[in-house]
Amino acid sequence: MIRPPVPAVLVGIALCVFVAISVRSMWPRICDGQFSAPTPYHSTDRYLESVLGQDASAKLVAGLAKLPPGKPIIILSPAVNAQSAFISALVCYLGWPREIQGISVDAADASSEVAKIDPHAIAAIMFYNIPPPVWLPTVEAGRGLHIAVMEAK
Amino acid sequence: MTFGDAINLGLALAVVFAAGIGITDLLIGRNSGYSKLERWSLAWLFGTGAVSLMLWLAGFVVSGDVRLRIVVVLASSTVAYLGGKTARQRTPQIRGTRTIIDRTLFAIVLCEIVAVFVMSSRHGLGWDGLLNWEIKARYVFLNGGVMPAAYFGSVSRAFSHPEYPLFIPLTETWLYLWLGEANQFWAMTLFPVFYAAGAFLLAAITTRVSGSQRAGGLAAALLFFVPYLHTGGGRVISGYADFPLSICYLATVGYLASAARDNSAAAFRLFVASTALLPWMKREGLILCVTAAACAVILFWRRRPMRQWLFGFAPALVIAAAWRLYLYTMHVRPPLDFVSISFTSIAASSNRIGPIAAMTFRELASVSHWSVFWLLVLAALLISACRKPDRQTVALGFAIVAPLVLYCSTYLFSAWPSIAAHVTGSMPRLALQLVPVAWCLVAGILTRESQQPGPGR
Repeated sequence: MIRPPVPAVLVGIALCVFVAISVRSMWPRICDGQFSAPTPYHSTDRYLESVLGQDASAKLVAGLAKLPPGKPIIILSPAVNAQSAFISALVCYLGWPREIQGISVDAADASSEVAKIDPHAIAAIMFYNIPPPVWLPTVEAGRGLHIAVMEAK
Repeated sequence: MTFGDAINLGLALAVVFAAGIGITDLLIGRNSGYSKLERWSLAWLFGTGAVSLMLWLAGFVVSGDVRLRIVVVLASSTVAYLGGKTARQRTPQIRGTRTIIDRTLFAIVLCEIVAVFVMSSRHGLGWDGLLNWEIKARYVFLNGGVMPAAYFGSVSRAFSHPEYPLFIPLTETWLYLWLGEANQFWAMTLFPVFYAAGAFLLAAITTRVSGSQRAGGLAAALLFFVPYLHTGGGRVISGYADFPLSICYLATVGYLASAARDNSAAAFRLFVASTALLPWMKREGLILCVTAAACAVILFWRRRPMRQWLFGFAPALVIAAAWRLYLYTMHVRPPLDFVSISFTSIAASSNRIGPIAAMTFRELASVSHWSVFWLLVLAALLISACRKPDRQTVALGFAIVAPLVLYCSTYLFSAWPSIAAHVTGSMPRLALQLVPVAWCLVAGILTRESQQPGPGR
C-alpha cells in the first residue's frame, strides 16, 4: 500500500512550532551574562566574586601561597549544599599542587570535626558558610569564608 | 590582550588547522566531492584531535613547552605538506547551483555562529567545564606540558575525574603553551569554533546522506534552536566535551552511511578517523563506537565483507586501549559513579528500570531543554517506519535509539545515593551527544516527505 506523503505545509508548521517554543525558552538565556575582560581567571573570578570580591582567584592563589608549604588544607562546608561543594572544589582547583580536602559537615558538628584534626599535620582550616569554633582563632578572608592558619612546626 | 598574545593565539590555531587540513586532505585523497567548508570543518575536528594526541604522546619523550611545541609544529607541518601534495592532484570541484532558499539558510547559519561567539564572550566556563576538563589543561601547562603523575594520585582531586581522556584538556593546553599562561577566557574560545565546525559539518553530512542540499541547510540552521545548547551544562560554550563529542559522532555515523551509500573509500577513511577520536574525547565515546559498529553491521550485512568494515574500528580500539593502559600505569582509581557489573548488581538494580525510563522520558519531553525536538525525532522515526525504511534510515535511527538505551542501562549500576540526581544531572548532556545525528535524520526524512509528489498531484 502506498501511503501519502506528509504535506510540506505540515512539516513547515511542525518546524515553526519547534522554533517558536525554542525561542521562548532560549531568549532569556541568550540575553543573560555580561562581557568581561579576557583575564586568566575569567571564569573562576565570576564564581568567587561573591565570596572574595574583585580579582578573587588571584587573591586566593596569593593567600594559599603564603600558608606553610607542603601541608594540606582542610575546607569545612555545609553538608548537602552544591554551591559550597563547588566553592571548595574551586579552592582545590586553584590550590594545586597542595592537597586540599573538602569535608561536608553539619554546622553544629564543626567544632567536633575540628577537634579531630591534628593541627601539626595541616597548613590551615577554611570554614565556608560554617561558623568556626569560638575557641579557634580565625581570620575572615571573605564573605562566609574564615581561615585558621596552623603554626608551622 | 596584547598584540603578542593575538599573534601567539593565531599561531596556535594555525598549527591546529594545518594539521587538520593535512589529515583531511590525506583522508579524502583525490576525491573532489568535498566542499571547502566541509574540509575546514573536518580540519578543525581532526586538527584538535591530532594536536591533543601528539601532545600526549610527545609528553612521554620530551618535556618543556618549547620542545613540545617544536615537536608538534614539525609533525603538523609534515602532515600539512603531505596533505597539500595529495590535494594538488585533485580535480577542482564543480560547484552545485544554490537556490535563494539555500543561500538564506547559509546566511542564517552564519548569523547563528556569530551569536554563539558573542554569547561565549558573555559567559564563563561551566562547573564541569572548569573542574573536569580545564583543570587538567591547567595542571598540564603548569607541569611543562605533561600531565603530572601527582594529579592521578591526588585524593582531593578525585572529583575532577582523572580517568577522563585528554582531547579537550590538551587542546586547551596547546593554547596555553603558546600564550605562556593558563587562561580560562581563551580556552573558552575553542568551543564556538566547535559549534561552527559542527553546524557546517551537519549541513554537509545531511546533504550527503539525504541527497538534498536544502535538508542540509535546514538541519544546520535548526541546530541552534535546540534550547539545551544554550543552557547551563549543555551550553556549547561552557567547555564541556559533549558537544564536540556529538560532532565527532555525527561524522562517524554520517561518513559510515555515506561510505555505504556511495561505496566511497574517502568517506570510509573519514569514518575511521572520526571513530578513532570518539574514545579520546569522553568515556561515552566507547559506547558510541559500539553503536557505530552495530550500524556498520546494519549497513553492510551480506553486501560487503564485514571483516573489512569492522577493521575500521581498530584505530579507535587502539586509542581506547592505550588510554586504559596509561590509566593503569598511573594507578588511577576506578570511577566512583558506578558499581562493578555482576549478576548480583544486575539483580539488585532491576527495580530501577521503571524509574530510569520514567525520568528519561520526562527529560526528553522537557520543553525548556528540548522544545519539541524529540517529538520531531519520534515523528520522523514513525513516518520512516511506515514507509518501509531503507538500511540507511534504519542505521541512523539505530544510531539515535541504541546509545540512549545503553546510557539508560548504565544508571542501573549507579553508585550515587540518589539515582534521580544522577539521571537528571547527566542525562540531558548524554542526550545532547545525539542531537546532530538526530537532526540529520529528521531533516532528511521530513524534506524527502515534503518533496514527494502525492497521489493526484
